[in-house]
Amino acid sequence: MLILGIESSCDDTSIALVEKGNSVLSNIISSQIKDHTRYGGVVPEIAARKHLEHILPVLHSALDKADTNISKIDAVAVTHKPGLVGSLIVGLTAAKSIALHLKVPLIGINHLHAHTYAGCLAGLPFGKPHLSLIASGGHTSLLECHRHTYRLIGRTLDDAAGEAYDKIAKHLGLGYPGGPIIDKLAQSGNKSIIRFPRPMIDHDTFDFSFSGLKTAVMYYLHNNPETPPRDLAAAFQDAVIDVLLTKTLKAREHLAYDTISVVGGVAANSALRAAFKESADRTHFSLFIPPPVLCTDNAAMVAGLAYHLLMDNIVSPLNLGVTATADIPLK
Amino acid sequence: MRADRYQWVSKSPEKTRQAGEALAAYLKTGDCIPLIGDMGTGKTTFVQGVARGLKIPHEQPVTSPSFTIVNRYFGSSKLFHIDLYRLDGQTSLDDLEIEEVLTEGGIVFIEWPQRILPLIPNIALTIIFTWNMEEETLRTLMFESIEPRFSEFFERLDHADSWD
Ligand SMILES: Nc1ncnc2c1ncn2[C@@H]1O[C@H](COP(=O)(O)OP(=O)(O)OP(=O)(O)O)[C@@H](O)[C@H]1O
Ligand SMILES: [Mg+2]
Repeated sequence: MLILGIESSCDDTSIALVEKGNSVLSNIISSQIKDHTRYGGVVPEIAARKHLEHILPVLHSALDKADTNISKIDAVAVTHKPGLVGSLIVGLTAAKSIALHLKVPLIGINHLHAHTYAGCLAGLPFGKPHLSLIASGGHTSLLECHRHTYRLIGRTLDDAAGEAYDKIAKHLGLGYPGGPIIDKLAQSGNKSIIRFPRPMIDHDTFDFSFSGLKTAVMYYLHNNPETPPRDLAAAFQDAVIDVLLTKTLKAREHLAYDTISVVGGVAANSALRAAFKESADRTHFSLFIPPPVLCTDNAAMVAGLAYHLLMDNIVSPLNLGVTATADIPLK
Repeated sequence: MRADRYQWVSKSPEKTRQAGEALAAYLKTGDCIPLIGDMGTGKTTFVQGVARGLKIPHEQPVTSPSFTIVNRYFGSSKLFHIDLYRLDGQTSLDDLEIEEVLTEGGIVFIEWPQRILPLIPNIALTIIFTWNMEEETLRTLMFESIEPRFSEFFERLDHADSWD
């Protein structure tokens, strides 16, 4: 069972070929193949036009890399929500054309559900109920996952964790994207000389708030202009990770899960991975954090999840539309 | 026409939200409100208050659109919350959904609007947010409009200190 997955909801265009939901034959992401010197990494590929430019070259490299032919696929999966409408439409239109032409099923996928599936690509058994922390530039959410049903139990009320990284990095004049830069700089910094606030850490909800960190870092720097950026980076990162870990552990205890996945772009952060691993070893839960390439946006997670939907006979009509917003049922 | 200007100091995030909430009553479909100001000066916090005023359900928290670019909310009016923070100078309105959003019949708030400011039709009101370096919870908001309908709102802000 070979599934072609397409993802165009955010900055990157990605196409993957995945066999039986877990064997990734190829997973091509536009940012890997585009000319980095021209884009410099600062221009987000949000415009539908950019996705349109990328989709065919990405499709060809995905098929080449998997050493297969498009006629061999058994189904097409595509992210159809949430995201920018124009960007989603590019992926969806390509998916529909392929499905129609090859007479194979079309499977529409929610981007956030796909992210949680990256945990399964990292070894988490699909049937295992678990808690998933999704932390990226655009999202910070805690989801209960039981096969392909999901319940949102917490989310950010203002900025996403990845957004906080990018904005603080920009404020400190460190460049873009902020995640990897702060991660690296923090390794040589002393996180204990400053203690930034941990917003909402003691709240009895599982919601997050990161916008206050902008104010905290900004005023600290104003009042202590000589502070080495590496110490600011380390202290900032410590606050973010502390909140993400504490809230996730609280939810795990409260809802009695023994399995956790951490996914999304921020899950590529080395200090976050280390903190969760340390905690898993100490308090005995099973932890699944995908390799960085499956943390950030990619189509392998889309094709992977679609396999299980197809096995349960869940497919989409050919008049499937796109939706700008996520509609995960609330608590 | 001469622009009306009104300056107001917010003493807390909640006061900023209350100002947004109060403004909602003076807005109408098709209004565009650019929000200008540095990172962390309270633009998103202000829109959270507007959402309250427009009866957007609590289940839809107003979060930062910096990554998602366009957030949509449905209350007593449609609320579109746009953020062009991540865009570069070459972006044009038709590259995004902004053109459609501007004509979709909602109330539109735009953070980091500088790059498209000359292209925005129907600017009802412009709000400029600035830090106040003495105190972490003070922000100055400068309102500018050529429309008389906001004068009552400005008068109400004069009494903001006595709001709950
Ligand atoms: N008087 C105030 N008004 C508004 N926000 C305040 C005030 N005092 C403190 N704050 C805090 O400052 C932060 C403002 O963040 P917010 O995300 O609203 O800013 P922003 O202008 O949207 O920033 P960005 O440019 O990153 O989008 C919040 O954490 C808020 O709690
Ligand atoms: Mg904002």
